[in-house]
Amino acid sequence: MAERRSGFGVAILSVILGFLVVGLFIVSLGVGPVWLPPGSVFAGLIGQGDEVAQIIVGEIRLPRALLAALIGAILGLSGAALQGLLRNPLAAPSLFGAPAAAAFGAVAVISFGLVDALSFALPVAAIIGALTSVGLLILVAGPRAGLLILILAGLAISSLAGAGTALALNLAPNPFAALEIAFWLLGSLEDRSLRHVMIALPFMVLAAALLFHDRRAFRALTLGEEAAASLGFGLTGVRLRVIIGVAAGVGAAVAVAGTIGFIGLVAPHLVRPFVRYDPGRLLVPAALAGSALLLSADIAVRLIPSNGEIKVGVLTALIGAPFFIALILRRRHDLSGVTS
Amino acid sequence: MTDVPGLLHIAGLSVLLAGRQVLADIDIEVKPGEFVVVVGPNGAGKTTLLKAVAGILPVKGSILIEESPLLRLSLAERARRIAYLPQGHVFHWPLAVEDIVALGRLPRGGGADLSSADGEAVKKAMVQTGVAEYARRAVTRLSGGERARVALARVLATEAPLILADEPTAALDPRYQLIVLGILQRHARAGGTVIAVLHDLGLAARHADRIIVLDQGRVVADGTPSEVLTKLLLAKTFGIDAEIVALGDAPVIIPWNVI
Repeated sequence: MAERRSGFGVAILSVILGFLVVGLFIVSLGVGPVWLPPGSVFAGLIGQGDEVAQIIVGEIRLPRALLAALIGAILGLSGAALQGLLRNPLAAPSLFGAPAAAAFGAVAVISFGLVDALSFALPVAAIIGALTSVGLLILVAGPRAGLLILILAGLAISSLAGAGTALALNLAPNPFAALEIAFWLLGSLEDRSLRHVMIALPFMVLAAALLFHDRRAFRALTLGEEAAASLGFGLTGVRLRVIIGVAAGVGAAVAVAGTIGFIGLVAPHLVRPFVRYDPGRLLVPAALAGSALLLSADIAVRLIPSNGEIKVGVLTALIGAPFFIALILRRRHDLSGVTS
Repeated sequence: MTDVPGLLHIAGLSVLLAGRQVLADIDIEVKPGEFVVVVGPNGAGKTTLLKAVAGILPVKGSILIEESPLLRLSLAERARRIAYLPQGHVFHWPLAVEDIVALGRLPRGGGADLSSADGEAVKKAMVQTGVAEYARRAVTRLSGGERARVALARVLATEAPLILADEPTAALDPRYQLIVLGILQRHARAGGTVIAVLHDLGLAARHADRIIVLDQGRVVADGTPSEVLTKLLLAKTFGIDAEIVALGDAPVIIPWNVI
């Protein structure tokens, strides 16, 4: 049967992507100023072999690889869920203002000199920022708002958070603080610890549960909002869960890694044809593709020769933005003809 | 027919949208097996009436479906009893036709992983509407008429007793207009109920058991086609001078002049 065929396809795709993620994960543990072969990586992971290799793998590279995999996954999942909600392949997780608000939360604590850029309070502030943006969004747009109002209100909140971040840079107590903020904003996975993983993880799990909950609604939304509502989906609740889920997930990601753009836009797009464009089946493969993309990008920044490591957020933007433009060009015809 | 309990019972229904009274004091009783066509000039509230019955608009008044209040039903239960075909037949992703039709099974738990009952219903709906031959094609690549039939197949696949269809024939050539209305008529003959909004008075007169005329949010006429579609009513409601010719049981309406 056709349905089994598509379910089967999704399972195979997920397994292939899963292997890819595991492979990239192992590579990510081996790549850096000190190159380690897979054998030393495995030995290091289980606490055997060369002591230096153990420290490099377990304390320096493992948190980094874990964060790349988790953040990539939550960005891919958020992008897929938002694109399903909005029925638009150009939607990105930054749409409702959560990443900008999370960044502002983090920057505020750095600029007040409360903490340095890698301490514990910073991710907490960023997550508070992201969740505050959701509260503000619902306050501004109203609890039963339509999508256009939500998007516009999100844009306004993004701008406000952006202005706050700019003000913090502007008023930074000293050039070092300003530099710290600027670098932090670029988005990076360098020098993170397992504590960062533990801070972000609960919010990401919450986000994944919320976003995955509505996969059937995303499928129904293929027919538009009215038909989806008539098929028994309460769209107010769906919108709320997606917005909160994206804020929690992306907020947690920004909290530990700064702003890393375009993964949420690109990952769903890459796997969509393989799930026969089904927005419900897209979620898991999009999350895995996001993981693979961010792991690859984070490996690439360690391989590209430059003085000082290129920040991974800069690399994803450099690749993602032209991809976005290409996507718009390809869809320009359908987009300009949209009437409903 | 009078002792059959109503499938749908609407009493004192009013709808206020953005401060405008779109429907006022609507009382309608619909029985199983009826094919009801709602007609009326643009802006009369026809689409709003269908949406209200579909349960996707805030309303005042009472709507009972099979004797239970519409708003008391769980969303899924409501969706199993009422299938709604909106205007326009929009598809946002290029899903295969069979996957679109399967969306009609969502209220019954299907949608992607179909049970054999789901599979049967989907197949039957595709055969009925003549879209089975492009089951694997992307829906966005079909013509307007083909898309309209896919949309109808999705609604049929739900196997809901009440079908609400908003301009189901809008993009269709004459042959498929007749085919689509024939499918809806058969649904009613088999004991289901259909409420359709149509603009074509001739098609309405030819297929409907009963015609409800809406004007400015109120029911201005309700009865069989020959009772309702009179020269006087067409002049008052639509502002047209029409020729009415009897052909068999059905009146044939020919809009002739603007009054």
